[in-house]
Amino acid sequence: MSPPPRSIYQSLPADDRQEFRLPGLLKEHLTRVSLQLGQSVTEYITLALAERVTRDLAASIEWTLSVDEQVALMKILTAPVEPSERARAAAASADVLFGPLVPRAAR
Amino acid sequence: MVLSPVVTLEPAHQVQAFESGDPEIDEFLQRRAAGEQGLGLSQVYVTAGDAQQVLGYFTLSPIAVRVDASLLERLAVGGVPYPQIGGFLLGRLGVDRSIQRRGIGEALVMRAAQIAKAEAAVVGGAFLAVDPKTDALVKWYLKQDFRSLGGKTRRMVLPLRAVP
Repeated sequence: MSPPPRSIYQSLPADDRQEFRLPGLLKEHLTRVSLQLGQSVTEYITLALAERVTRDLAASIEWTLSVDEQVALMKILTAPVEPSERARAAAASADVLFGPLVPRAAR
Repeated sequence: MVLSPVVTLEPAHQVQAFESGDPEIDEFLQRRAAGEQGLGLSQVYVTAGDAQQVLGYFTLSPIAVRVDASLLERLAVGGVPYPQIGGFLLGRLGVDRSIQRRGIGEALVMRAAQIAKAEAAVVGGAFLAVDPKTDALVKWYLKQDFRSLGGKTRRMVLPLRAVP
């Protein structure tokens, strides 16, 4: 999955508020650089936030497992396995309830 | 009870009356699902009843697990060409109260696994993962053939090879 491009955030309405405290010096510098770039403080902060959030979201789609969990995962994935009777019954039930699996293009 | 095929959430779907009994699951569908899907964070799959009223849903997103190559060597499963193993995360699952205790949740999990398996045939992927919030849910997923990874978390996986 690709992380959301930050431009998507910029296209969304600014429909919420967030208040926070910050050092006065940082606020002063923030105001100065946003003015220099011809942006409002809100625009500047939103853009910076979107970049950071985009990067961190990309990192969050990865599970970091302990060594024991990695061993367990590899044993599970490499063990011989076939669909169980329960799984076949669940698949049959899903077909009855929802119909056959919808092809990818129509999903 | 007539349920629609499982398809991705669309603007026409009605979500405001959805009530699973878990406020977090309900709030996600009603307030955040469409936005997250729009941002590409996850795909939201729904089944609906009359008038496009959503009665069940789940979310799927790709997930990667970083593995230690030396560990794979020790397990004699070396030769994996990538430092990550890809799969899919079943992030949220909810069934409306009106149709609970009829096997809909089990069927939705199976449909999620089948979609993941179909996607894996295109982009690769070896497992469907869940991270249950409670021990009771761990027991429930065990009944759905998921296997626990142990450790201090509740993370579990279902090998896609086990999906019919």
